[in-house]
Amino acid sequence: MASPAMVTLISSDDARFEVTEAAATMSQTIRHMIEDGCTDGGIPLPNVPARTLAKVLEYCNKHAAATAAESSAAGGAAAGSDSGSSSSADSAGKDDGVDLASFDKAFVEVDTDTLYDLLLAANYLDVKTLLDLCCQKVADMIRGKTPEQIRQTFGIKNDFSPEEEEKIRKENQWAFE
Amino acid sequence: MEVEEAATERGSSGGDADRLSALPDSLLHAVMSFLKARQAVQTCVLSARWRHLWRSVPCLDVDHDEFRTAVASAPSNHPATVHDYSDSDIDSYDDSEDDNDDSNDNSEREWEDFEDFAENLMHRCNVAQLDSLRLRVSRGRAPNFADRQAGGWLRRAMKYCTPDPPRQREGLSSSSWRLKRLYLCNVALDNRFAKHVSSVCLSLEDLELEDCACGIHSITSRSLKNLVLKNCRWQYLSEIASPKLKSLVISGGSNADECVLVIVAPAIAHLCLDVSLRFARRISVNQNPSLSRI
Repeated sequence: MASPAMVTLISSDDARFEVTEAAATMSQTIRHMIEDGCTDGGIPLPNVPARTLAKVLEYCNKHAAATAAESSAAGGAAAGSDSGSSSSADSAGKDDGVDLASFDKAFVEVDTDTLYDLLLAANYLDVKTLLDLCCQKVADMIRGKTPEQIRQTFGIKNDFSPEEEEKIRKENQWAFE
Repeated sequence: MEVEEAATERGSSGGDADRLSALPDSLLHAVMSFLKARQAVQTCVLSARWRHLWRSVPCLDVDHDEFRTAVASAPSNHPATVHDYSDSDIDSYDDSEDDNDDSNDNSEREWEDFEDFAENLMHRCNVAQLDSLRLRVSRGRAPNFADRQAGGWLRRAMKYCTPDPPRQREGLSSSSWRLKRLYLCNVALDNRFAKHVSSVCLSLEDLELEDCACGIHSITSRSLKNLVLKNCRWQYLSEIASPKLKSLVISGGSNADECVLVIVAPAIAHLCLDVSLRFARRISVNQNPSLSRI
């Protein structure tokens, strides 16, 4: 089997990362750059520092590998391999699903600064599933909290005067009853 | 743990940057899309940055269940001044455990609060720019008429979601709704809904109906890709047609045994019909009688 195509990514602080094309193209932004032939000498990503890029690539490598395993399992089944091997491929695929879910969960168990860095990088690089994962994590941290608790969790400064805040609550009373 | 984090953050320096609020609107909207609607609206009091964000959130999850604790947060003995709310929220939740023998009263209040919320929300948020709408009425705790009332909210949303009311005209026009995903649970629907789906919801790709009473004969769409019909009571479904439909699941529910259900979906890749024999006299898929009764 031929070795997979590799690309070089360059972080904002000039660190170079060698990754498979399959992992890199989980980013639609990078995919478009590769399609446009802008890969000579590495792909510069001026918005993403090395620390964040390493983390994003950890995510992409894991997911690209899982996708490859899944499609080769599906390919094997479609090619009419005997029932024994296709059922083992099936169960491997299922394990991967569980494995990926727990990987994802652990992946966003990070401090809020790292979480924002990931969120912004996922947005810039256009990795939809990672963006959703990060947004879901922030939403989980908001869920069930009162406004004051949310302010405390995220360091949001209440810039309303008490009168203003009361007015806004009155305006939207239907959501606070 | 998060509260601890926040405490140390606040403790470290007075001028801590609030990186969450510094995110662009689109990302805050993406975060808010994972919240249920009531909590998404409540972010309006966080700070000026958040005041109007909820109005243009692209995904709304309007869920009756979100109002289970709401009953408790408005204690009847004192008309809670607005400032009380945040502090009393947790305490009063505990109270509700004590007086839940009066559950009928609770569910009535719960429904009133949910009703006020949903009607205000549909009026005040920008329904026209929704990508995704989920409207769920609890079957167990809602009054009998609840599903028809919820059907009314939806009908008005669909009717007034566009600047111009839809004209009787073929093809695309500016009066289509950009909505892509619609999930309804325990909402009463009729042929007007079906008509809106085919003539206004020109971008609708995913439609899921669960526990709905559907006075609908025909579901037709040019855009629908995934359709899930779970435990719905039909009168009388006889046609499903969409050229782009890839996946169709009909699971449970009732229809009429004299009905012939004709499914026209040339692009279908996944079909699951898990219904009783009395659901229809015959189900034909892409005019292929051999596929009926899978």
